[in-house]
Amino acid sequence: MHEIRYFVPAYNFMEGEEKKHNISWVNKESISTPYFHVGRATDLSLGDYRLYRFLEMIPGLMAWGTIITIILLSIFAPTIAAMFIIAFDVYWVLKTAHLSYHLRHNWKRIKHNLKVDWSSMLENLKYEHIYHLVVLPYYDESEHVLNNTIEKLAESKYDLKKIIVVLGAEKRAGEDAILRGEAILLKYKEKFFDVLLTVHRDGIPGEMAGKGSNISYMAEEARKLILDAKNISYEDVLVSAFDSDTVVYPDYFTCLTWHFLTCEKPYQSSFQPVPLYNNNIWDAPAPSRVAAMSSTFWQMIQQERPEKLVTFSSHAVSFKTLYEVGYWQKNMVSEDSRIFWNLLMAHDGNYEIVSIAYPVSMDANLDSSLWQTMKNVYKQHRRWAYGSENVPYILMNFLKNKRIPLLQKIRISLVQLEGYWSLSTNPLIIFLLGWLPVMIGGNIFNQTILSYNLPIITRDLMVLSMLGLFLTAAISYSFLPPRPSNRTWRDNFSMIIQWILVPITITIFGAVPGLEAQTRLMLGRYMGFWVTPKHRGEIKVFSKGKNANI
Amino acid sequence: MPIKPLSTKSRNRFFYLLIAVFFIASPILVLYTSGYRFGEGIVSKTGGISIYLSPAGSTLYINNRAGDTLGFLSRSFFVQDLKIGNYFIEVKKEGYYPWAKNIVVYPKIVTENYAFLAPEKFILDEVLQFGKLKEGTSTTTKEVVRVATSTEEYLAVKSLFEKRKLTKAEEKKELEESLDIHKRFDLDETDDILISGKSAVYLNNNTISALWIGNVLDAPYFFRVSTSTVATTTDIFKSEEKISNIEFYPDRTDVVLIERPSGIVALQLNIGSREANLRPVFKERDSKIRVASNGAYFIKSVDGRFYRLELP
Repeated sequence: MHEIRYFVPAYNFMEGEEKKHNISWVNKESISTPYFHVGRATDLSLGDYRLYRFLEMIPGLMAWGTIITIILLSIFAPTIAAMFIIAFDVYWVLKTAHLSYHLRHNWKRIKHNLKVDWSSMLENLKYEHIYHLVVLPYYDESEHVLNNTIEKLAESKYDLKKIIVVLGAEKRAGEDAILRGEAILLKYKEKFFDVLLTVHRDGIPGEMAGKGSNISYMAEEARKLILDAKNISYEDVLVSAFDSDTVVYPDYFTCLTWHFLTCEKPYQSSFQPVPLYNNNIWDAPAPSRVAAMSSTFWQMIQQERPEKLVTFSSHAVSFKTLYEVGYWQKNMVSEDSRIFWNLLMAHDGNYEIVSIAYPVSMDANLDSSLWQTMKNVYKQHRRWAYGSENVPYILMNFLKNKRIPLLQKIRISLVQLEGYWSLSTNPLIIFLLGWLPVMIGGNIFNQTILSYNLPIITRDLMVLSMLGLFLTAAISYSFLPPRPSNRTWRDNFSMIIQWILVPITITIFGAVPGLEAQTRLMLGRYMGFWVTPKHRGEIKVFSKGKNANI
Repeated sequence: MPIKPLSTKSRNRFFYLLIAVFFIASPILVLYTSGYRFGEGIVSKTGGISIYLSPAGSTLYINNRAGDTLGFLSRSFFVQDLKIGNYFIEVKKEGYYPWAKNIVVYPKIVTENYAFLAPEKFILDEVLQFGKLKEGTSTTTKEVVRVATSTEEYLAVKSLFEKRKLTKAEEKKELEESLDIHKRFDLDETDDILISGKSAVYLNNNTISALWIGNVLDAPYFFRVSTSTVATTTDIFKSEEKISNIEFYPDRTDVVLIERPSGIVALQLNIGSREANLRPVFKERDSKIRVASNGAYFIKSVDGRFYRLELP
């Protein structure tokens, strides 16, 4: 079970191709190790397996270690536990202020970028050679969803004859799914430079059923059938890896092209837009909206902290860069973030994310009933939280790759560990464990002033930190698409008042799925890819002329 | 031109400012919540008091100075920032006998108290045999009397005050249960005993005593001689009159109702309680009090009338 099962050295793609497509920034040595495309410990052997397995356990051990320590301290040293909780409450308030500071600036950037005339900015640059390859994998999404996505692509201000659309069906989704793709292909083939429909086979050795294997197949097919066939240089192609419900705003491609052409290291950079979940936001229930907007806000905050930003969901990267590392990983769940780590390792740490502070819109979770929607939100967040599978990957490659500067390794490792630790423990500490010393600390502790003050100070600091929700409510309201005709002013009110759900949503859709994902990884009960169902009501999200105000 | 992301310089400036705030605010808050205050030297230790189970609207007096008044939903007081020492505290509310106590405030500790504000007037529902309203059912006390109608209930209440002849099996079972309880608490078989968890309140020779068999740290407040001393057996009150029955006050295990020839009174369990601490409930002589299996309290007056007693 410890043999290398899935590894295909990426540089094999490059043999004989490098001269044609200019120089490579990728270090071949870094991508030819067994750790470069490792999905899980079982892909490795012997000592490496044991080391990787231990590294897989670290996020879970940290989370459970924290929870158990607080419980034990609450029983045996409640005074220390109470002091820790008060200090933690202060940390939480200051962290809220810190995040709000970044959020507010990114909000200003997005609002500004939505008004910028990107087309005229591009006029000052040589950009006509840039092609956009849009990768749209789908499973059983309706033709309505796919149509809407492509319709909005067709409304882009960028020259449509420089846009290549690849639709990627999964064979296991059945003949109907393929037929839906064909209908789209026929409808839009003439509008774009090219439209390609690929059908990804199921059960290919070394692949996990999921988005990563499909979009890698799509990219490779597009390379062979379009780029090579029409002699398009890989360097001139920017790949936007989308979900089937990713709807672009009119200036997405012009904005992206501008950033690509003006950034310091275009072939050592990925480009990250801000995911909004506006497509069906008026139809989704409040907890789903809050969870979706919270994800948006987290991405907005990270946009202002590029050193902490990792590719998430819809992202863009040069085809040349992508091709050099063998596209996205096919044997794991979080291919969207893993591609960044692949590229960072391939470039020996000399790789970065460019935050473009420009939105794309996606679907918030919505299903046939509130309960089913809640289950979907939970599963989606669990899948995102399973991004903690990147922690062993990062640590393993850092241990093995001596060319990456030590300080960079330490900084990135701490940021990632703190991130996943915070996700799964902080809401629990604030909203649940904070009361524990009072409940189980015993009579002696319960007679102290500290015991009496602990719930009071925790409540007061929590209220203080909740003041940040005013900013959150204001920003989320400003991002709302126009209210559909079938909605009333009460729905507008609900869009504001919904934020009181935050303590519940960050616990149930943040900490709990985070803890479950990390526990599964810790125990070696690996997760597979779960496709989020896409349901919508009547979509009137981006009526023309209102996009600038979203 | 697009706006640039936040500069590293401004981010760092804000970050280090927050770090500084954290290292200043955290220790100050920890010390403050632990009872430390500025003054008397640089920093002095303070203590606090808490008083539970006070009726809404009651006011706390500390050393004769009025303090907080409880709101509609509140049932307890919590006062901190008190210097170490002795305090005389009172809780008052119109229509209730005031509750008062001398307490000691210790450093970093909250002295816990349970107030018992007995109403000046209790409400009685008379239980009638034939469901017929009866005028003028006044008693010799100040209680408000509400006349109630009842038929079947009358007989059930009446039986509470009668010694029913038990079958041999019932007699044996009752005896075994009684022996079991007395054995568990190591008490004399003749003692009248009330059990609440691991504490027992028992009557012996007109003296009400309390016994605790649990962990000393968990003992109720009336076993506490000081913050560090717990008496597991303690005499609470020696009556000047013969006590014929004791019952717990509803929802309270620190207050008992006492049946004496002069009437029925309530007493909060405190070490060294005296006659002055008794609060009248029903002043008619030779009246009796019993508790039904559903938890309702009934009084039988000397003239043979039955009342349901409503206790707040």
